[in-house]
Amino acid sequence: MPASSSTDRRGRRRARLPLLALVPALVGLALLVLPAVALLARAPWSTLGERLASEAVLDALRVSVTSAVLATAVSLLLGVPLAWLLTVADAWARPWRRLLRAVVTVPLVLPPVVGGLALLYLLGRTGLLGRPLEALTGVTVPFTLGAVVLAQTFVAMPFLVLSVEGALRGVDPGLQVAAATLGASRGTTFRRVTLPLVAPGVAAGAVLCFARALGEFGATITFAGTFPGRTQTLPTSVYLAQQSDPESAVAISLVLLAVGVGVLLLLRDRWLTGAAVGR
Amino acid sequence: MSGVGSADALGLEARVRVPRTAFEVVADLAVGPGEVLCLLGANGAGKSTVLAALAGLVAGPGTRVQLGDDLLDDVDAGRHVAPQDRRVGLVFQDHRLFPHLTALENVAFGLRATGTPRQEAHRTAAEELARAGLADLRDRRPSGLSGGQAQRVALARALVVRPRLLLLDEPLAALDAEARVATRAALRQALAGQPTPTVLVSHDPADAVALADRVLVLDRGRVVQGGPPGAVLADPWSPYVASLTGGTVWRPERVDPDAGGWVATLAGGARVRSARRAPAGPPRVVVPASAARLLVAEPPGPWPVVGPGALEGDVVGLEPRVARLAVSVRLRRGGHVLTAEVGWGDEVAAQLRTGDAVRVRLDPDQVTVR
Repeated sequence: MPASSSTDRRGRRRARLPLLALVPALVGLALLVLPAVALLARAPWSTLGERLASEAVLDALRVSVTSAVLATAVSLLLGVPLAWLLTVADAWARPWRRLLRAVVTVPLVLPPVVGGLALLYLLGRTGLLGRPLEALTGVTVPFTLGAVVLAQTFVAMPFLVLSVEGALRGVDPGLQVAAATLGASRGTTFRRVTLPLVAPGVAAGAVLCFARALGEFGATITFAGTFPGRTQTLPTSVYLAQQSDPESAVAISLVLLAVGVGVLLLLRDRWLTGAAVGR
Repeated sequence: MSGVGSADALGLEARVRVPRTAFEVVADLAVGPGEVLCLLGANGAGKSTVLAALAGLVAGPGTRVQLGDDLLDDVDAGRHVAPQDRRVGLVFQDHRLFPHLTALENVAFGLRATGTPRQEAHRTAAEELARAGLADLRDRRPSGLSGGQAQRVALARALVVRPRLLLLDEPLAALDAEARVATRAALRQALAGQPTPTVLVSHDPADAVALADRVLVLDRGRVVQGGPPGAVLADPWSPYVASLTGGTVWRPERVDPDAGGWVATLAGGARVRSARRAPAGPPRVVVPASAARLLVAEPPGPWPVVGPGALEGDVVGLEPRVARLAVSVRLRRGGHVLTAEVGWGDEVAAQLRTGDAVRVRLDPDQVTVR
């Protein structure tokens, strides 16, 4: 059978990759998949249950889930209006528009450890805001659960902002004009028209943000430390266990890998396809 | 129509001045309570810009919009009432129903946005849908409505908040021919009971005739003609209006009295006789498509006898219309282009080719000059 007549059940032509592209594509795929396979190969399957049920792991899991949920909530609260601001900034002069965009997206390219250091110089006991904050209220932020949440928010919020911004740009501005002529204020229009229409984008952004917060390491360990039961998250416990108890490190890594893959599968089916809009 | 309060119906007076890239839109209009004004013009003539100005979405220096005693816009005096505070209803070509809301929720949207409690808003919206004959569509999303149904829901959504001014922007243009006729009839019925001034934008003369009390013709941002729809279409002042009914308008160089009528001379010397002189308007020669009789030279024979006054020309375009073939003829003298119509049954219709030499005889009783 000639290759060109290859079709699927619905009669669509099947696209084929030339060999020159197929080989590097497969090598690339292997680069992404093989490390996970190696991890699975080293997994201590017989003791997996008891290792994961240990108090240290359960503590880290609790801190991780609590902080990632809080970081996602904070990101939603601050990130949705920030995404709105990014779309409004289209009317600004170009330098300001670019500066705003750069500031919002810089955590995506900044090494998280640098972010953690910067947070420390802002909110540490001798920091720019940390010193007056302690003097006025007696509150210190670093090395608390709050610090974990802040570090995760700093790193993860841009994922939500960009996702929501993309969704906002997809909303027909004509609908906002229509809402205005019906007497709706800008706030009402945003709440009752724009927000429901971007809900799939907000949800996708929140899931991405949660997954990123759950996996955050560098900023957390710098700004919040690794106090078991208080600021030690799953990723930081992997790092510490790797030296003392490698098999437990592998076990926790498997949990993080499973969560990551699960989140992406969920996203692909439910939100990234865009089919949910208007349903 | 019952249930529509008319006590506070106000007239609209507007001076619209909006600069655009190619030209400035300049239109002065006054629309009385219950009156429907149609802004007629080609795409890009500035019609929708006028509507946007009335809705408070755009404005230029000199713009002034007043509803009764209520000054909505006076750009020079720094006065501007925001679109959401005007109580001006706008219906768009692309219905713009909210895709995530049902028909009922769409109609209730304006009420709820202005503070009516949910239950009451839904009850009033249901009544409005029932009044428009759309009660059985109340739970459908816009994706489940046909184009005509969606446009009628959009009209109900605009009317339910009791706007003080109703603006319709090409409401039928996006519909297929069948839905357009039905929706036009529904629109006509809905507008008949409206106490407010209504401004309708369209490029379809059928909308003007069916829906409007008065027409303003816009061309490149300027008002070029106004009056009752029938009168405007019967006596076009510009090539654009003439094209709507398939006729021709020329600017004559001079018009002189002649035995039993007038004779208009066009640039290049072509002369057109007329028995009718228009009482007002700019200098013009109006030739309805039905006034022109085409004569073709029989190869190799002589021209048929046509009497004096026949114009020589060449066929430059053939456009099949539903009942007749429209033939564009460029006159040899002066290069003026004329539209004539030939019935499909006429043997000339089958013979004509672009580039053919023809002679045209115009019926003086159907030609109007000024």
